[in-house]
Amino acid sequence: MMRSLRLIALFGIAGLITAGVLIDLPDRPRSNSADRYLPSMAAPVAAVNTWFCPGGSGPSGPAELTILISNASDEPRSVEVSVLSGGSDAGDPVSQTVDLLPRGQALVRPSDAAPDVSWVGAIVETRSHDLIVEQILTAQQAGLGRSLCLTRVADSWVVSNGATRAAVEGERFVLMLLNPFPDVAVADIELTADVGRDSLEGLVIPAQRVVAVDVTDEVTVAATVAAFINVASGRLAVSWIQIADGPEAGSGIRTAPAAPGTAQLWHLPVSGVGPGRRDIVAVSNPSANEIAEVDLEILAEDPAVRVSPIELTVRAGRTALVDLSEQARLAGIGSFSLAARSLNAVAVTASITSVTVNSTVEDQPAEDDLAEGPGLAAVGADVDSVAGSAATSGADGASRLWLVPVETSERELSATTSASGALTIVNPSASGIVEATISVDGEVLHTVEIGPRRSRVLQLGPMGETVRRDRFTVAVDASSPVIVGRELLGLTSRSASLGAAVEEPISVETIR
Amino acid sequence: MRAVVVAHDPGDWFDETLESLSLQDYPHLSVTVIDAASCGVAAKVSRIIANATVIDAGAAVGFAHAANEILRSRVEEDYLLVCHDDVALAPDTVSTLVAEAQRSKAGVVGPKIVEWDQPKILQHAGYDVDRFAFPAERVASQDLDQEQHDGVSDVFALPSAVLLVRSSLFAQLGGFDAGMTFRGEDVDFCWRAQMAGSRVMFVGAAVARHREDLVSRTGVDDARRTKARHALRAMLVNHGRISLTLLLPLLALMSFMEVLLRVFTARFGAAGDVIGAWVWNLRRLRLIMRRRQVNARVRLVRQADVTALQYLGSLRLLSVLRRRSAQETIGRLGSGRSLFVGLRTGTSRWVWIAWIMVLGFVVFGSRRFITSGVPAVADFAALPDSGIDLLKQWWGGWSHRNGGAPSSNLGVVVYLGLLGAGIASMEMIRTFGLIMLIVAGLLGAYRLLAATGSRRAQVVALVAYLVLPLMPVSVSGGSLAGLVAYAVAPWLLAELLRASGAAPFRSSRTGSQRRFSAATSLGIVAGLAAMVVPAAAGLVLVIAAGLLAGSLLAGRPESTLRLALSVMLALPVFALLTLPTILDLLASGPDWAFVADGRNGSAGDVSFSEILRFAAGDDEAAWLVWLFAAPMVLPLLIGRGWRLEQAVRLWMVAITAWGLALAAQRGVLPFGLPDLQLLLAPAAAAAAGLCGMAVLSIEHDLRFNHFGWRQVLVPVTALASLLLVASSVTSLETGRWGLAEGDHHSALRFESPVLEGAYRVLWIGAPEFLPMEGHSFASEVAWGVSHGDSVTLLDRGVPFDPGSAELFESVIARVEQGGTARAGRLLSSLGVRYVVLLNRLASAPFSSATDARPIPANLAAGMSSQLDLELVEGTNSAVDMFVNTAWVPMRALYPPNFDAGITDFDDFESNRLPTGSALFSGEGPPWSAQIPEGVEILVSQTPRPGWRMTLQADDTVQPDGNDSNITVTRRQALAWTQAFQPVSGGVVELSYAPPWWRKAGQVIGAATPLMLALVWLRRRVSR
Repeated sequence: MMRSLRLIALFGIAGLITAGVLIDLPDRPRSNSADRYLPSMAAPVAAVNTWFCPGGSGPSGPAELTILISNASDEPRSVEVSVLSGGSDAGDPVSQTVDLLPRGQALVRPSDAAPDVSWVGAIVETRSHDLIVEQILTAQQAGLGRSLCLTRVADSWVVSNGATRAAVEGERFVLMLLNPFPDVAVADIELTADVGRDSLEGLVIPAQRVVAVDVTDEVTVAATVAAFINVASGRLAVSWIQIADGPEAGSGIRTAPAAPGTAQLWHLPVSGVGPGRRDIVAVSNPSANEIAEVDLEILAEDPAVRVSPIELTVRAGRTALVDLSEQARLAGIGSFSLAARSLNAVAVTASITSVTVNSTVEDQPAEDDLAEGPGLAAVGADVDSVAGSAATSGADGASRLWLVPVETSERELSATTSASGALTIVNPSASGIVEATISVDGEVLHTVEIGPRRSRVLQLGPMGETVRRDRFTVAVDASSPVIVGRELLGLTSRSASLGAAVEEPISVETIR
Repeated sequence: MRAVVVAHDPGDWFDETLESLSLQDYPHLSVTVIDAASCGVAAKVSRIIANATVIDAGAAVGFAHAANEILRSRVEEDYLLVCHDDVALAPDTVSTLVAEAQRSKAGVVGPKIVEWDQPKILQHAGYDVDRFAFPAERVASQDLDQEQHDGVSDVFALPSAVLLVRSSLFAQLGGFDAGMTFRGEDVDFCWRAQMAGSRVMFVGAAVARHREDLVSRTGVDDARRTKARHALRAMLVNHGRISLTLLLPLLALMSFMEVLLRVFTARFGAAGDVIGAWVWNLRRLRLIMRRRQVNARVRLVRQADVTALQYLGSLRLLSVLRRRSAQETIGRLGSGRSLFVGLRTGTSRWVWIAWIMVLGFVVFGSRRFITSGVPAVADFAALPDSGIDLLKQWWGGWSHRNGGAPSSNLGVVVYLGLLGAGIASMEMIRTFGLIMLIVAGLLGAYRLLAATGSRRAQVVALVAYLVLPLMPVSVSGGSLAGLVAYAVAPWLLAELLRASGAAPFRSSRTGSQRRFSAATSLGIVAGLAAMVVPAAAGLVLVIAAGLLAGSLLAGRPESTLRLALSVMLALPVFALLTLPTILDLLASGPDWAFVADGRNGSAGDVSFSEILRFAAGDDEAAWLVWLFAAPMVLPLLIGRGWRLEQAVRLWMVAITAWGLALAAQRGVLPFGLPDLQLLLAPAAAAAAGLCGMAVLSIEHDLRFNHFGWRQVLVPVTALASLLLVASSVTSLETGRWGLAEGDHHSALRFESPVLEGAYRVLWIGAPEFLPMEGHSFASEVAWGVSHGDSVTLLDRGVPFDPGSAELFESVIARVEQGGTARAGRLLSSLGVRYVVLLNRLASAPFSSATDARPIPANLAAGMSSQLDLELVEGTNSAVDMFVNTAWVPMRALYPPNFDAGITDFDDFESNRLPTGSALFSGEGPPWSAQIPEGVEILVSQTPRPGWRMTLQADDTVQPDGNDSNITVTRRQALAWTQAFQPVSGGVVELSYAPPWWRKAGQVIGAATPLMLALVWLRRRVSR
C-alpha cells in the first residue's frame, strides 16, 4: 500500500512538472501590438486629424503661404486653423475656425492673422478624414508651388535635393521647420553639397513656432545639396522650398515635404521624360557608414514594356542623382512611374524633382485619349509652353483609398486661366491586379485595372469638365493598396505631389 | 525562641496550627498569639498550649501591623518565629530552621511551604525579586515536591507565612512595614534585612503546610491591588537615590504600557490597580520619605550589593506579556530558567538559536529600511503625512481613483491611522509594517508543522521559508501583494491542513469544535490578508485546491469534504472582516481589475523554470534554488505513513500554485491574475513544509530501511541545504532585499496642488511599475490616476464603482491609435495635469535599463504627438513626464454657463476649456471656501449622489443671529461631471456623504479585527 502510494505520488508529481515544462516549450503568444506604421505621405486616417503645414513666408517674403482646405464630403465641416509664426520665444498660436461647405474649399491666408512676420506656418485640425489640406506658396517672381501638408511629425528628416546657385540660377533653398508642440525643439542639420559639407548644430525651434533655414546662406553655389535633419529634442514637421530663376534651373517655385524617415522601398508615381523636361531622382543614404545598393525600377504603364532598372550605388551620408532625361532606356516607353529599391537592406530616401524649361508640346493627344492619356509628356493639351518645376517626395506606403485635391484652373492664385493635370495610380504588388474606381463627388468617372507593378495615368482636365468645377477632389478606391500621385500643370507653374491616403496605409515593403 | 502567631479570626484549622507548634521538638519554644481581630482566641490557645501568651491587637490593621505588636513586649529570646494563623509546621521545622540559622549566620530563614491539603504540592520555596520589588515564586504552579528544593539556598525574600528571624534584627528593622497591610511586607522586610547585612535563607529540610486562603477569609479580592501598591512602596523606600532615579521612569513607562494592554484587553480593573498603586504611594509620599530615612540608618551593605541579588529585568512585565494571572506567576522564574536551561540543552536551544539568527537575518537584511525608510516603489505607496489624515479619508468614503468614485476603504486603514495618530510616525509604521509582514510569514512557517511535535522540523521549515527567494523577490519588485501573500500563505496552509483533519493535524477537540475553530481561524487569516490586498484571499482557494488534489492522490478522499466545509464555514468571519469590500461589490457589481491589478491575461516573460525557482531570475545564485529539490523530494522517497501523505498534499499545493502561475505567464487565461509573487506564495509555504517533512521523515522513517541509497540522501540533502543557506547571504547585500534605493517621486516634480489648484496625475506603465493597482489597457500596460502631487496607500486600490474610468481609457486609446492630437484638452476636462509614462520600476540610477519595460511605441509616440502635452525634458531616463498645457483645476470658479456648447466629451477636442480660479485646493472632501457672487463652481468628480454643497450667504443670517445654510443647486457639467450654482456669494462647503450602509460596513469592517482580538485575548487569558 505504502509502496504503491509512493510510486503513484512520485510519478504523478513528476508527470505534472514534466507537463509544465512541455507546455512552456513553445513560444508564448504575444499580443499583436506591433509598432504602428507611420507613412511618409499624408494619411488622415483617423476620425480626428491634424495637418502640419510647415509653411512659407508672409506677403513680403519670397513664398507667400496660402492654405487650401478641401472638403470631400457631402457634409459641411469646420476646421480649426492655428497660425504659427516665426520668432525666438515660445509662440502663442492664433486660432480661427474655418467652415467649409459640402464639397467646398476654403483658402486661408495665414499672413492675415500674423501680418508682420517673415515666415509663417499653420496647424489645421480636422474632425474627419475627408478633409485635405494643402499649402500653396506663391513666389514673388512668378509661379506656384503646392504640396499636401503633413499629417505627422518626426525626429529625423531628409531633404534630398536642393540647389543654392543664387547668382547664376537665382536659386534659393529654404528649409521650413515647424514645431507644433508646447516644448522647445532642438535640431542638428547636416548639409551635404557637391561643393562640400556644412552643418548647423543646436538649432532651437521655439515651442509652437516656425523656423526657416535659408540654406543658400549656409552653402553657397551648390548645384545640389541634401539636408539631413536630426531633431535632438522634440519633433518637427519639415518641408522645403526651392526657388529658381535661371537658364538651367528654370523659373518658378517648388515645395514638398521632407522625408520623415528611411525605407528600403520608395515609389515615385509622378515622373516622366519629354522635350524640355528634366526629371531628377535623388536617392539619399543617411546611414553613417553603409553603402546602399539601389535599383531604380521603371513601372511602365504599357504592359508590354519591360525596362531594366537603373542601378545606383549611394555612399553613406551622400545623395545620388539620376537625370531621367539622360536615360536612353526611357525613351518611347510611354508614361511610367518609378520605384527605388534598396538591394542590400540599407534604408534610403527618394524624391524626384521635375523642371521644364520653355518646352513645346507638339504631340497633341486625341480627344478620345484624354481620359487615359499617354503620360505627362503629353499633358497640357491647350498649353503651348509649360515652364516651371515640381517636386514629389517618395511614398513608402500604399493605401486602398485616396483623396486627391485637384485644381484645373489657377484663377485665384495666379493670372493664368487654364490648367490641367494628371493622376497617376501605381500598383505596387508584384502579383495582383488592382481594380481602381475613380470618382468625383461620389460619381464614378472611371474604373481601371492596373497590372502588377504597373502604373496608370488619368487626365484631370476632362474630370473637371464632367463635374463642371475647377476645384474638386478625386477619390480613388482600389481593390488593393495603391499609390496615387498627381501633377497639376498650369501656364505659369507646375506642381506635383502624392495624394492623401485616407485608409490606414501599409508599408510597400510588405506588399508582395 | 518565641513563636509569634498572628491570628485574625481563624477557623477550625487554627487548632492544628497551635498543635503543630506544641509538638515541635525544639525544647525552648514559647508561643505568643497576637489576636489581630479581638476575636477571643485566648481560650482556644490556652486549651492547646497552656503557657502561650495572647496579645490583643484589635486596633492593628493588617498582618504587618499586628506582627509588630511583639515589639511592644519584652523579647528575650534570640529568635522569633513569625507565623500566620493558617500554617502547620512539621515537628522538626523549628529546630531545623534554628540549626541552619546558627550554622549559616542567617538573619532570616524560612521553610519549604507546601499546600495545606496536598502536602506533596509545593507552594513556596522563597521568592526571587526583581528591582521593581515584584516577587516571583521559585517553584512552578502545582509543582510536585520531589525533594528538589530540599537544600539550603540564599534567596532574596521569603514568604511571611513562616519566618524565623533573629530577634535583634527584627527589632533593628522595626519589624514589618506597618503601611503594608497584607502582601508585600515579607519582600520589604527581607530586602531591609539584607540591607542590614543579614542573609536570607531558604531551608528546604524544614516544612510547613499553609492554607493561603486570605481572600475567602476577608471576602475581599484585593490581592492584585495590594501587591501593586506594596511593591511600588518597597521600591520607593528601599532603593538608593541613584538606582531609584534610573528605575522609576522605567517603571512608569512599563506601568503605562501595562495600562494600555489592560485597557486593550478590557481588563479595566487591572488597569485601575496599576494606576491606583501610583496614586496610593504618591499620597503617602511623606511617610515614604520618612521610611527612607529610617532605612538609611540601618543600611550596612552597599546598595549595589543588594540589587545584585535581585532579578535583572521585570518579572511583572514578563507576567503581563505572558498573559498569566497573578497566581500563575508562580513558577515564572522557574519557567524562565527552564528556557535558559533549554538553551543549554535539548531542542529548545535550536529553536532559540534559529529564531535569533532568523530575526537577525531579517533585521540585517532590512537595515537600510530601518535607517532610511522604504522607498515608495511600485506597491509600497507612502502613507499620508498624519494618521488623522488617514482616518479622515477613510471615513470620507470617497476614492479619487476612476475620476472619483464612492469607495469604502478597508479596515486596515483605521488601524494605520490610529497608530499614526497615537504612537508613531507614518513612515515608521510603514517601515515596520513591511518588516512585520516578513516576520509574520516566518512565524507562520514555524507554526506550520507545530502539530507534528518536532521542533527540528519547525526550525527547518522556518529557515527554508526564509531562504526561499520569494520574499526578496517580492520586496525587490515592490510587490505588496507578494509580501502579504508571503506573510499569510503558511498560516492559511496550516489552517487548511488543520481543517482537513488528516494526521498529524487532528485536533483533540470534537469534530464540530475543531471544524469551527479551524474555519474561524481560516476566515480570520484570509480576512486580514484581504484587508490589505483583497486578491490575497484567493490563496485560500489555491491552497485548498492543492490539498484536495493531494488528498485524492494520497488516497484520502475523506478529507476533501472537510476542507470544503471549512472553507464554507470560514466565509462569515471573512465576510465580516471584508464587509466594506463586499458592500462595494454588491453596490457596484464585480470588477476584475480589483483582482488583476492591471493585467489582462496576456502572456508574461517568466519561464516555467523561473516559476519553479520562485521567479528568482537567472543569475548564478538563483540557480542554486534548484537545490531545494533535494529536501522537498526526500519525504516522498523515504517518508511513511502520514509523513508521506502530507508530503503528497504539500507537493500538490506547490504544483497547483506553479500551474496557476504558468497559466498566467503563458497567457492562456481569458482574465488577468494578480502579481506572480502572490501566486507563488502557496508554493513557497508548501516547499518550506516539505523541508520540514524531510526532517520528520529522517527522524521517524529512515530507521526502517536498511542501509542503502536512502541513507545517502541524507548527507546530500544536508549539503544542499547548507549551500542554500550560504547562498541566501547574497540577499543581504543591499540591506533592502534588492529594492531600489529611490523611487520615481525623487525624479518627478509636481507643482503643489495647494498653490496651483487641484489636479490628477495619469500614470501609464507595466502593471508592476504602477504605484497603484491599475486598469488594464493593453498587454502588459496598465493605467491609473492619482490625486495631487503624491500617491498614498489610499490611491492604491481600484474601487468597484467604475466612476469615470472609461473616459480616461478612451483618451488613452485615442492617443495610442493616433486618434487625437489634443489629448491635453480631453484630459483637462478630467483634471489631469500630468501624464507619466513609467518605463522602469524606479527612476535611474536606482533601476537598470536592462530591466526596463518601455511603454509600447505607439502609445509613447502618440503621447509625444499631442499638441498640448509638453514633454518635460531631462526628467529621467526611466520615465516620460508630460505636462498638460491645457490643464484647468479640478475644482474652480467659473462664470455661469462656462461650458455652454459642450454636450459631448469629444467636444473638448475642439473647445479648450477656459481656466477658472482654483478653489478647494487642500485634501478633502470636505472643503470650504469663500466665493464671490455670480459664479459657478466646477467639481470634476464623478457626479454620484452624496455630493452636496451648502452656502452660508452673507444675507442668510437670521434676525436672531443664527445662520441658515442653503443647499446649492447642482447640474451636470462638461458632459460628464458636475458644477454647483450658488445663488450668491458667501462661504460654501463642499462635502460628500456616503450612504449609511456604506459607513456601517466600514465601521463593522474596522471593528471586527478589534473584537476578534479581544475575544482571542480573553480566551487566552482565561485559559
